[in-house]
Amino acid sequence: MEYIDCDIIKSFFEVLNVSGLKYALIRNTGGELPDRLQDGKDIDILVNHEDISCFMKLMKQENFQRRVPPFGILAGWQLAYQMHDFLFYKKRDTSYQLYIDVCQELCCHSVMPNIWIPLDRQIQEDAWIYRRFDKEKGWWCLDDRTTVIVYLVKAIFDKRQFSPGYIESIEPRISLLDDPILEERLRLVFFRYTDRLMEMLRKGNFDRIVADYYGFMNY
Amino acid sequence: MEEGMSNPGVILLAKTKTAWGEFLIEDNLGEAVHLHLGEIRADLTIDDFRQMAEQCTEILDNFISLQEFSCKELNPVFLSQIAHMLPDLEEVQKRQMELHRFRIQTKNKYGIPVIQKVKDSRILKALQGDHREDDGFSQQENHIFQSNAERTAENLRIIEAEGYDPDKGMIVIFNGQEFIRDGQHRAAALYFLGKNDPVETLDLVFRDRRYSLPRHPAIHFFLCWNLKKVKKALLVLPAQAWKKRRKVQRICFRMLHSVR
Repeated sequence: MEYIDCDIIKSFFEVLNVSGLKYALIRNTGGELPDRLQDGKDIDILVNHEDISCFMKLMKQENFQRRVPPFGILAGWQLAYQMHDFLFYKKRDTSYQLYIDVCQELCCHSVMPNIWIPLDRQIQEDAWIYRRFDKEKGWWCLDDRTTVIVYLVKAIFDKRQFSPGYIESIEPRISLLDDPILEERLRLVFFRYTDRLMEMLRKGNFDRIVADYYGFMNY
Repeated sequence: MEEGMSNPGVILLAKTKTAWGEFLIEDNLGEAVHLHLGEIRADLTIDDFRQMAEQCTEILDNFISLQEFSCKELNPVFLSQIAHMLPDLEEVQKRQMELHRFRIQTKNKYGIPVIQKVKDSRILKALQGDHREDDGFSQQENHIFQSNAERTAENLRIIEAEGYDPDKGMIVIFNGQEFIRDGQHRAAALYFLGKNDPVETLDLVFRDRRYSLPRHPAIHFFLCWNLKKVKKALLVLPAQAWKKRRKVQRICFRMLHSVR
């Protein structure tokens, strides 16, 4: 298994930081960034829609080639609620395959086939209000509350399973379930299933959550 | 739905066009069942929705007014697909048919309709281990997240465990024809298990034998296709060209007029 040189990843984030663009790393599953990102895997980042044209110029300067997003409109996906299409980049002229997957909104697969749906507006606003700079790693990332939501949504709607990496990312943040703001935000996605979801998360029943959610009928 | 709230867990249960706009039934997981009719939306709990569905079933049974007809004998998805045919339903018969007599209308790899015996069907092939044709078939409705292979396997498991139970849904044919209109999976599973006893079949007979399938679908397909094309070439296209010609004339006239 080959990993992409961590200096390349660090320098990519340094460029973003210097540019002053509003961005946040969406996921760092299992702490693979910066030194354990497999060759060919992508980095998911959230970029503020207002900064997107500057971001595109910057990527061009940094020798990134724009590609057709594998899950975007051109690949046959629909974007609900006026969501913006993804941007997908590949670093040019390198021996490794570094991809950057750019979202302009936090989103997830709808249960309906081939549709992306943005998460609730309040969650989008939280992402920008509470994003934090990770001094140790040198990048902007989502706050812990939004991170929990992002992993839950990804596991339940996109992957339909909780992989060990996802569990590893959620478990250290389980204490946040006592935070009424997180509970309120989860209700915007899971509605009346939220109480049961929180109960199952507290008990660590990750393997039962997906089937339980799709079979939930108390509403 | 409040502004900004979007539920990713929406399952479309039914969709049809009506004179008052599009009618949709959506299950919004964890939230409510939504009934949309044009701009109007009603929110129901699951219990309310089930109760309403029961009442609709009773209304439909009364509306059809054939003693032998009962919605409960039909698969709900199939019932929704044939709903527009029900006003033409004249008679409902139950008859015994041997499996080898059934036929299936499907499309070949070129998209041309063909008739197959159950022993040649994609589902039987899948049950025998060749999943290529079944996996590529996209025109059937499965349970949510269920693949064609999973559905085929599930049907086999049920038939193995319980046998063919007419009370839980019969194989359906139209107008005495041998074409299976609903129950292809059950027929293939029975065939796979070597059960060639006659099975109870529901025969829906429509006024003037409407909705029958052609005996030679390929010929019918080519004739209809050509007739449509010829009709379009002779009638529709010249009319469209004529309309556009007038439009171009009008634009040119306005442009010239404005220059002067």
